[in-house]
Amino acid sequence: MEVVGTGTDAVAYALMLADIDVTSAYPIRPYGGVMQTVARLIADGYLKAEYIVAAHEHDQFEIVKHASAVGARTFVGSSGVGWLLAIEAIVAISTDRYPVVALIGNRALDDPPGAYGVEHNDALMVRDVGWLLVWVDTAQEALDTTLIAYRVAEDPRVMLPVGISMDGAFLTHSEHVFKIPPKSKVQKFLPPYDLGNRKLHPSNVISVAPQVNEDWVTEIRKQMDEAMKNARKVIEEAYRDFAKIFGRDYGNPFVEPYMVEDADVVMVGMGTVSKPIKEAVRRLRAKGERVGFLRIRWFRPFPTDDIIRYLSGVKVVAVVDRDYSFGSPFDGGAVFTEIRSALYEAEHRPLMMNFIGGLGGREITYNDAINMFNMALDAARKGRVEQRVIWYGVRE
Amino acid sequence: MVSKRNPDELLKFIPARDSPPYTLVVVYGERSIGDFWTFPDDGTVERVLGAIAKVMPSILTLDDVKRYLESLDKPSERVNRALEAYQSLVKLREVRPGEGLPYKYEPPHLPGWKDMMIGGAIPGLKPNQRNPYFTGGTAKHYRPVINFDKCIKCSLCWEYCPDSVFDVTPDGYFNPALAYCKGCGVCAEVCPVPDTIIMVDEMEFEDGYGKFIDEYRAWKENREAYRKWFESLLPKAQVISVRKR
Repeated sequence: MEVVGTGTDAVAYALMLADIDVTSAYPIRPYGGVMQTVARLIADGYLKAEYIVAAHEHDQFEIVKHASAVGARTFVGSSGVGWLLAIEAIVAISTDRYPVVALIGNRALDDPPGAYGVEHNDALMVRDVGWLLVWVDTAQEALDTTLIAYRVAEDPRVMLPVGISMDGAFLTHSEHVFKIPPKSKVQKFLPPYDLGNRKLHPSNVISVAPQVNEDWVTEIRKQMDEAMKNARKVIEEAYRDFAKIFGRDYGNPFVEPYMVEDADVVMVGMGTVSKPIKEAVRRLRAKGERVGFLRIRWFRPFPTDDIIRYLSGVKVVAVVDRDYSFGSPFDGGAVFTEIRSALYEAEHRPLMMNFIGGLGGREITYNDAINMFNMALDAARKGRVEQRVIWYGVRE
Repeated sequence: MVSKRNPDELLKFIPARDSPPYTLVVVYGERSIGDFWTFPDDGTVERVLGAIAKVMPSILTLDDVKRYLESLDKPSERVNRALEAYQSLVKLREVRPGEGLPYKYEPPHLPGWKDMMIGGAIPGLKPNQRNPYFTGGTAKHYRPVINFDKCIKCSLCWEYCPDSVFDVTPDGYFNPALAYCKGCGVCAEVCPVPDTIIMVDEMEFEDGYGKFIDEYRAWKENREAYRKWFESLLPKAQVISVRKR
């Protein structure tokens, strides 16, 4: 069935198909649309689930953690500072190894307050604590990725939560046409949630989240490390099965390469920034410039091998960061720093540039993307980068 | 060690060591338990300081001890206690390798990350099961002694014991596995029948670590002998609560 809806609508339909058992809600924009649509789906009888209105985000994430521990498939979400208010529960969800799926409607962190527009620093705050992180680009991808997220998170080899990042406003609130697959296909793709011997139940007496000392912490972290590494294989399997069952093939699950084969300059970004950049690629290609784009889907686990495969030998790699990491190496964005780190192992290391752009929801147009490409092409011709990190469009 | 007993008597309860020889220093006084949360200001610290000054003046001289205690509140009382220990209350006993209670400490085996349940979850224990590493060692001061003749099988001791010490017997009694008991006395506290679980000073027994008496079996084998034994211990039992005794 084809429908028109927002990015958050698409996630809500995926929750209906995944037949979630418990969701907890607390309003904050731009994630909030999803809780409204889920409430409507429950009210209209399309979904049977416990819908718990929390007192605040910390409660919200604690509720799903506990629900997940007793065997319920759960959904939760937030944005910006709301996501961060829940950080203690968020970390406990991954360290206790519960496969919660969350939507992060990416939003600039306060202060300055009231900047509802997209910035990726909210989701990136949890990049080091065992959450799988994925960025989606369209409503269809949001729906599909939600189903894939449950499949990956609940795999016994993984058992880690997944955060689905969706650009605030640009995707959470914009309407797209997307397909809703039949539930029979989803049931083929997504097995029932089974915690096995870790299910908290009177018939399965266990203690979870025990207080431990330094004799145990290293081992518990090492288990998580292994699960995160396993996730790469499990993600690949999930996308392969998804293509088979639903007939929609995303190709490489981790990154979306766009005209990168013979490119001298490749721009890299996450989320909806792909739209203006792809348009710029098409226009510059028409003029004979060898440019391309690489969109990162999965940021955790980081697609190290794919980054090296696609970017080794390129003359200039220009990363667009909708985030910033104050005081980081070379004072750049978080994505830039990670890609630079991965490319240290590349056979032919490219020159690297970083555009800090679109902060707080400021739009990046295709003209902006063309300007960025021109700066990168200039560096490619000269064989050197004059300014490594550029705050694109900052008023002087 | 702070005790009213003499070193030879105490040595029956102190685990033997392979090497090297050491000196057991016994300071006369009531034993006293202090830790991070409790500090009974009962003179134990002062007596121990006085004893150290006597035995190892190279670490602490009597003048050092006095100077320190005089900087606290109630200085003369504190100094007197230290002096008392220094002058008359210290007994020494050379302990040879192998002397003492035959008990060898086995450090627990810690599982590797592949052997643990994920997320550090811990499987629960079934009734009559215990974590073999959670024995009480030689640390407990008191042990429960059960008068099975009076037991009404209410199960409160079994439920309340924080270390799951009690085994359920086929006929419904609750038999303490004494190796696992830490001597806390909760069982005696919750027992609704007076003088049915009593807490007795561990030093009244010489059955020793690792070969503790099986109280239930002893009772089954000879009820009359067990009853006499229990009655002999009754006057020595700790007063657990005013309510009952």
